[in-house]
Amino acid sequence: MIFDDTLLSAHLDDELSGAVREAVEAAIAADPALAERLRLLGETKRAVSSLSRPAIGVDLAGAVLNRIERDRTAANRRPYYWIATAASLLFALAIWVQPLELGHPPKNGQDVVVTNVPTPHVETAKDETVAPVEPVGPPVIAEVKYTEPMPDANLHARDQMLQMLDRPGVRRIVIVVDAIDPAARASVNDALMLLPRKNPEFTNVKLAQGIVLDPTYPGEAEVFATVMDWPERRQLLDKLEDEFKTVIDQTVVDPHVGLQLADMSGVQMGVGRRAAGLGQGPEQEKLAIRRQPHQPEVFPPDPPARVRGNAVVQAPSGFVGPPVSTRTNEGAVPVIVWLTTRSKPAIH
Amino acid sequence: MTGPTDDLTLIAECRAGRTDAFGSLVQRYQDRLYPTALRLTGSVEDALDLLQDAFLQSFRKLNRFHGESSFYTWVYRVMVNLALSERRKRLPKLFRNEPLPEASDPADSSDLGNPTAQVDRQEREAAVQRALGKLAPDHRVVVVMKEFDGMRYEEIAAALNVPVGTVRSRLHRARCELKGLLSDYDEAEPPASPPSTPSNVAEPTTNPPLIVHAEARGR
Repeated sequence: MIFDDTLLSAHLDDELSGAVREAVEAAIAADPALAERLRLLGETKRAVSSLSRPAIGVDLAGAVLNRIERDRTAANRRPYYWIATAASLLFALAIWVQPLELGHPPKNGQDVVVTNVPTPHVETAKDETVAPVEPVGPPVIAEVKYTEPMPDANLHARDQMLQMLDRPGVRRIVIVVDAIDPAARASVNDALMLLPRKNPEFTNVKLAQGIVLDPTYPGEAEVFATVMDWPERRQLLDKLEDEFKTVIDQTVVDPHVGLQLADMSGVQMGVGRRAAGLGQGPEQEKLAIRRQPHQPEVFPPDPPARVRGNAVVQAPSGFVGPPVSTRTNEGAVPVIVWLTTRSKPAIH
Repeated sequence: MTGPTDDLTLIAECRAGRTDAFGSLVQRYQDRLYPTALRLTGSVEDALDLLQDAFLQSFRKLNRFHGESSFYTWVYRVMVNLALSERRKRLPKLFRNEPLPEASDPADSSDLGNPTAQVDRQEREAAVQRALGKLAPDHRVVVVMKEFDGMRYEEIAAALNVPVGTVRSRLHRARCELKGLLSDYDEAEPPASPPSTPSNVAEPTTNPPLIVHAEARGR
């Protein structure tokens, strides 16, 4: 008899009946190997069925209704062609990522390992070391200038950044507005300020002259920095999408630009190394951020938040945003992730 | 539990232009749908995005809802098909091996006061979730619908618009693959409690680790 193994799964799921069921039961009873295969399938089944069912934690109704309303508004607008020289918006999202080695917090000038491997709970639970958290901070004028051509995109780094981008929790957000049209820049500013956020303050950073964030659209840029949780980030992207009728694509952080943003944030971008806790293995090319050896003196940094084991991070003085939890992988080290939006404002 | 009549009333209000009524439907079902979205996508944010997109698409196609199934079932189908859609499959960010939020269901209560068991449970969950993430999307969806949501083959077939035989074969292949993916973990961490088996399956006297082995299909 040729036994179709899919019948074992069907039998396990009680999806057989009649003669087929009897034949399968007889075959299992007569063949210990079949019975063993059935048992192993049952274990696999239970592994999935016993997965927990986490609570959602947010109310989607408001976001869904907003999208519905925006759809409705957009449908009422007259379609129009885009302006070729429209503004471009560059969104850089700097995520707070906790390095695995909590016991060895980053020091000035030292590499910080950034990895997408989940932090083992045991390791963090027994770790009492305090790690500094990057200040949300007042503006810092970037002084970086460069003339070399921008290197090609690093797809590997891009994948890592995309992975980090979607980690839950509070992120440091850096929004770079590189718009030719002053009205577009003003609209972005308005969109940011209208967000119903707990922390109403965006830090507005002026880039130094000579810095070109996007050679396709040379021009002045404005930079806004703050922290956001997921619903806030979603609201922001929705609002900007609506405002500029854009298609948002995630793209690669140009290393030079990343360095500039890193400078503004008081961090540096570099190549990460494999975490010691991960054991032996080849070094990994990671996009990592390390603290700058020297914080700019013009703007005093905010008091650092503190990370202790699995405790909730205490926010810096005066910061009223949501708390940062190490369990959701926020931590001391921001990693810059870049979203590019080619803004093509509609003409009403 | 709110009955289907109430859903239909809300849907009628939506069709009459009261979009706020749709918010009530979202609030009513988001909690039930979210865990499935989470298991399908593997990340909190993808799950939230998927769920939001599913509700939006449901609203846009509300005129096509004629009440043959419950509204929940309808949105559920929209959601799983969205998860399989070409657009989402192209997204590089779909399914990351990232830590999911800690379990908050009643099963956790057994771990209270036992941090080791809690950690074991979380690690086990993470391993299973990683294994799910390595399955092909059409296999993953079938596994989640069957094992996590307990749907019958016919229900899965109807939701995915595929024959029942396809569901059966996909599910079996997915289980075999999962078995292999979980074998390393189980060899290191044998299950703490004996698994339950269907009444018609003999309970083995030993509990060997999950090991992938190629078996001859015929005998």
